[in-house]
Amino acid sequence: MAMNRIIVITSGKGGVGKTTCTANLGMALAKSGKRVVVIDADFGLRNLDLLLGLENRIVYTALDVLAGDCRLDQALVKDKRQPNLALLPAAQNRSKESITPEQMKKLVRALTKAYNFVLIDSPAGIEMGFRNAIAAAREAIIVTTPEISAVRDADRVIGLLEANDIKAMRLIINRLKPAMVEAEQMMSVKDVQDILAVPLLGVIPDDEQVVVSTNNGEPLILGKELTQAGTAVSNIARRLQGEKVPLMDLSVPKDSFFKKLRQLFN
Amino acid sequence: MFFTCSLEAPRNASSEFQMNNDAAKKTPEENEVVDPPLKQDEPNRDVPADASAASEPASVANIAPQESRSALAARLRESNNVELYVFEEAPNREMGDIEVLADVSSLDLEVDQQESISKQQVSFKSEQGRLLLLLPPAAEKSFTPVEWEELCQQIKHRLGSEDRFFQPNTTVHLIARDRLLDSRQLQKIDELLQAAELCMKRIYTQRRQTAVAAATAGYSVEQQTKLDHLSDVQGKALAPPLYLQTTVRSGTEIRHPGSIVVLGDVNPGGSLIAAGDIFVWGRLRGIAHAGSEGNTACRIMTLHMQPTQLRIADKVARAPEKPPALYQPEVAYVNKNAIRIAIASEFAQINLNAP
Repeated sequence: MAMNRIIVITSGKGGVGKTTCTANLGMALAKSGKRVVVIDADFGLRNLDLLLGLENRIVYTALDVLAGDCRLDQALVKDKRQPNLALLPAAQNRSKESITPEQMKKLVRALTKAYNFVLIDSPAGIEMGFRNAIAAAREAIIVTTPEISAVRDADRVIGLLEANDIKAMRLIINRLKPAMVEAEQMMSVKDVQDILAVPLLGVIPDDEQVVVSTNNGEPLILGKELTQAGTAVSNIARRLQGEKVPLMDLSVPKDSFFKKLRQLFN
Repeated sequence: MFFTCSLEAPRNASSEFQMNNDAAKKTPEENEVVDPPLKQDEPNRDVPADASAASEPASVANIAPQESRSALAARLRESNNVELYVFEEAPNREMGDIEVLADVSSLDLEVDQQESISKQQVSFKSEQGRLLLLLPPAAEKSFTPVEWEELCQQIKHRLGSEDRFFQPNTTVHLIARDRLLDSRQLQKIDELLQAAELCMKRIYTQRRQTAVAAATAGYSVEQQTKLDHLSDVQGKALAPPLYLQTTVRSGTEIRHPGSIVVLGDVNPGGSLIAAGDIFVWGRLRGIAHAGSEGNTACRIMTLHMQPTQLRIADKVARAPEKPPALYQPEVAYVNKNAIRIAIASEFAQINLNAP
């Protein structure tokens, strides 16, 4: 049996799309037939339930499980649209200090028995909440946007993950605007990779539909027709399972071929 | 607290210096300085010294950094000369200005000591076929959990980036100095060493409690009141070069009382502070401080000179906004009271191959 995967999704900086990535990635993996549980490790500021549209179905949280108030399976919220996907919600009314890395490990260990993928949505920052989130993880996905501050924080987080013996790391560059990259107003994929030196898992282009889907609690990946961002996420899910999927061509169509040629010869 | 104003100012400045691992926190006045464009064909990225700015005493420069900087910026805008680096007197009393240093230590020795202690790092030293793991001396306040974690991370980082030099099953002696370590912490250190195929045998300590904990855990222990040859804190001679194969990432600061060689990149937000030379076989994008104890003969050498800041002894230089079109191996050195940068091959011809 293949080993169950425990993956933390983290970034250092807030607002780069960790939770959105977790929700969509979880959904995409579930769609491909894997049993997936997503854990919201952002105690006190939980969001993952909103993005999945599961807020009104939460009865118990991870803390209730740890306190012995309910069984683990009672706290898991199963997704009606995609029965392979479950959410372990965080408590909203507590702080990040209300759970320890040891407890987190215990929860995850129990979950790996029933799920192929355990995705842990890390909170921003590098304090206690972050340490809880990475405690049980065996792999990490670093999410960054092509901005200098996000890349800087991602670099710091990579260092911390290495120090915590999480060596299997992969990078998602989120919210790339190809036109701006071409105009040299935004860091390119290569610029980001140059600094972080972590294998690339995928690039997600900036997409207004993401906001719409977030507000509706309807992950992008569930849409009938996938947008570019949706395709990028589903490619990432496939790559995560070992499939070789080439990177999407995000270049701006207009005479980009000649531009590239020119760049080659310069 | 009874600091005078003139003391407070350098303290703030030096704490900013310590926190340099977050280069994103650039102060706005720093950004005000407009860097002039680059002259491509000039081999020596030399900068004429701004005599007035450089000769200002450090304390004055610290108290009013904004004035001196903006004055400098104004002069820069006026002059049509191509200048690549702007430099200021370093905002750190530690860096060789004897007058300032003496002043501070006579007034406030305790805090000064604490500060310097917190800057020391874990180090490995090989001695007669064994490896010594030297822990930094404990600070005035006892061993807080945060400090312990920092210590663990340092040990891990050093083990990871120096491991090619450690023969498997080398004996390690832990020099714990006056650190208080409980059995759990000793065990953790042992685990870290074991993961690198090293075995901890003996523990040298000045603390009775640590000695008891170590003996109970089955290590041989040597309790010492004083460590003469091992505590080389007062030593003036440089330590052997520190050779690291690693990427120095944001938030990592490596200090060493000798030269530092890094095989890998130094990313923005990372910093190297060496009493000797700094050699980066990779891209230098963070902060490098060579000759940190005041030696202006020290150099910074790298394949790709794109630093956030360069420091040699008490000189500071900042990279221009506009990068050169092509990066070549370069050397930064001090000449005529300022940091200059030369292409490595030319520097070698002029400075190293001279009869």
